[in-house]
Amino acid sequence: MTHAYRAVQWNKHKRTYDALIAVGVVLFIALFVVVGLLQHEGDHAAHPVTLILRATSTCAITLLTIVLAIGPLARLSPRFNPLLYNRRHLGVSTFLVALVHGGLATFWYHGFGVVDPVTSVFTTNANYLPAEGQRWQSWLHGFPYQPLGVFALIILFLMAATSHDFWLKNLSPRVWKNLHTLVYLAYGLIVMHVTLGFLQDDVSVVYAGLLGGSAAVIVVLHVVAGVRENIKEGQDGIANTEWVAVAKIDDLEDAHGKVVCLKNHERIAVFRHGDKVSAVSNVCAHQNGPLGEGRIIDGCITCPWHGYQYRPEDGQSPPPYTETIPTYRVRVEGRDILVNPEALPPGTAVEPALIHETVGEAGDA
Amino acid sequence: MIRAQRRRHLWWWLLLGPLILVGFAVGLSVRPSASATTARPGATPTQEASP
Amino acid sequence: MRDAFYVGYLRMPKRLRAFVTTVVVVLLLGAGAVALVATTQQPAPGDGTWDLSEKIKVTGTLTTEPYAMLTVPGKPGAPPRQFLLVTMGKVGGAGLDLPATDDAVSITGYPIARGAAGTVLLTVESPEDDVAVSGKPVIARDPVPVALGTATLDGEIVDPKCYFGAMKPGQGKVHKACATLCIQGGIPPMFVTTDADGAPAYYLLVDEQGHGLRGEALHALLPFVADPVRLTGQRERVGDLLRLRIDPRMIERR
Repeated sequence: MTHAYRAVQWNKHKRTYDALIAVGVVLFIALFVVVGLLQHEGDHAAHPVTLILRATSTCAITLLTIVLAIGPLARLSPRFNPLLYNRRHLGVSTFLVALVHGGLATFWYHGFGVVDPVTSVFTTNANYLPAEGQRWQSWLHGFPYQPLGVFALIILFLMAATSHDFWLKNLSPRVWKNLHTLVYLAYGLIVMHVTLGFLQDDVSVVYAGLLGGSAAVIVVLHVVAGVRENIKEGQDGIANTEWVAVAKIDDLEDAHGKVVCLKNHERIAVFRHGDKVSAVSNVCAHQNGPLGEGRIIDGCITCPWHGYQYRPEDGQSPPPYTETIPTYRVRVEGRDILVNPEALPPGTAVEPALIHETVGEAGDA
Repeated sequence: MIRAQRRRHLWWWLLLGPLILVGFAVGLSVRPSASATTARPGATPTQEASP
Repeated sequence: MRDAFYVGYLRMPKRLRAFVTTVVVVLLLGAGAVALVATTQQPAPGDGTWDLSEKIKVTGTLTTEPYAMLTVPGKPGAPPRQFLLVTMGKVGGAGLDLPATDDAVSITGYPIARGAAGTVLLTVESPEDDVAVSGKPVIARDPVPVALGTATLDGEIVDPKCYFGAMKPGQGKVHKACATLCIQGGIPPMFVTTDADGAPAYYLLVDEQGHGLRGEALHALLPFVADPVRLTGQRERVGDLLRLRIDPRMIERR
């Protein structure tokens, strides 16, 4: 966290995660190249460089598809959170594999010639606009697909380069998130890079099916997760008066939270810790993770995404960490928890509301 | 505002998603192999004129 | 924590661990399946070869028109054989600075061959070491062109170096930029089509006067390289190679 920046704050989980990525990538490329070499005998085999180019492109797209699926899956079910935890390492791996593909393709197809290779990527096929009298189908078929890949690679580079928490902090989570939203654009560019590149030479349905199928899954997952959240927000939207009853005490398990949506307000996370109730912003200062879906561990609200922690009574991370989140005034009336929707400045101490257990509840005696 | 950001997210996908899928479909439809002929041996009809 | 709440730096709860393990196994197997399907569905790229293990030595007559070529007497009853001369990179034989001589010349180079077409090109590594003027008189005369009439043909303009074996595959959209660079660099443009029997047919492309395509004529052809095109021109046989005389400004896209 903010305490001190290290290249990566390693823990067992991150090591396992990265080992799985590395093994997966190496096996994928090896399987592709070796089987590809064995498939057509002797003189009929594809060139090894061609096979590596195809293996790295297929691998990078597979990785990116997984990266893009994790977000909506985790929003649909928190059980996918462990995949989200170290997703940026998956993203950096995607960039590295794509970089090998792009670098090798530039060297192989654009090198050794009378034009500088990097210039050639943009200029050797210059059919950007239809020639006079050219049918649009013929123009699109011949469209230079390499620059689409280059732009996608630039986006992946920017994301990989700024993936460290140092940049998250210095660019502000908002700018950082917006920058990293560009991955959607990169994904679109990559789909078109393949469609207007390799698929133009291909006659089988296999590659078109793989790419089209995965793209459809990604799009549907994001739309479903987004729409579902929108509906939830609409239903839970509580009118904004001065004090709002947001939950019943009996609905809140100890050490658990509840996300409260107030119309035109940020979401609020209400937590019960023992006989106390506190309310803080639902937005984690690290990467905007949903704190209300977290738990209280060691007396601190713990974010379900990366485990960032805040004291419920003042929204401050325990020393030596320095993150703060806004807090809300809270009180208990009978069995109702009431929250004042006006957010207090991050780190403001608020006295937790006390629950006075009444004797004679069902089950007690 | 995180809520605004989340809503933007959804808009991105409602806009970009169909765009990607339509771009993909249109790109597939212009494959010469899907409509006409290719230069691959055996696939090309040749119009011969008399010598 | 007793329930399935996950924190990266703490031990994962048991039930969650089972779920995550399942997901990871499914992802890894799924990725493996994608790799297998993708690699086994690749079409065969043809049987071209560029044998870089051994040079062959060919003796014949050098010509620079229409392109840098070595003409060698054919077997008895067969037409003279013609080898296109290219460099190791994407540059044609004109870049080799070949000696202007009518005497017999021996060239050692790596052969590029494809199936029934046999060896079509020789790649010359170093003009100093690999080209020797023998001083003997001409052993093969320029073959006499045989006109075969005009034809309209559908096919693809390729660079023969890649198509016949240097790249596999050396045709189509993905290879377009490479083919364009090769032809721009002076490797003679070739047209791949099929003959009436469906067998592959290769035509060396020349201008309407039978000269090599250079300068403006070559630049008019470049945007059409690797695209599906239709060419109309005079066909002729020169030695063991077919040629098509075209006006590059009249190339049609299909």
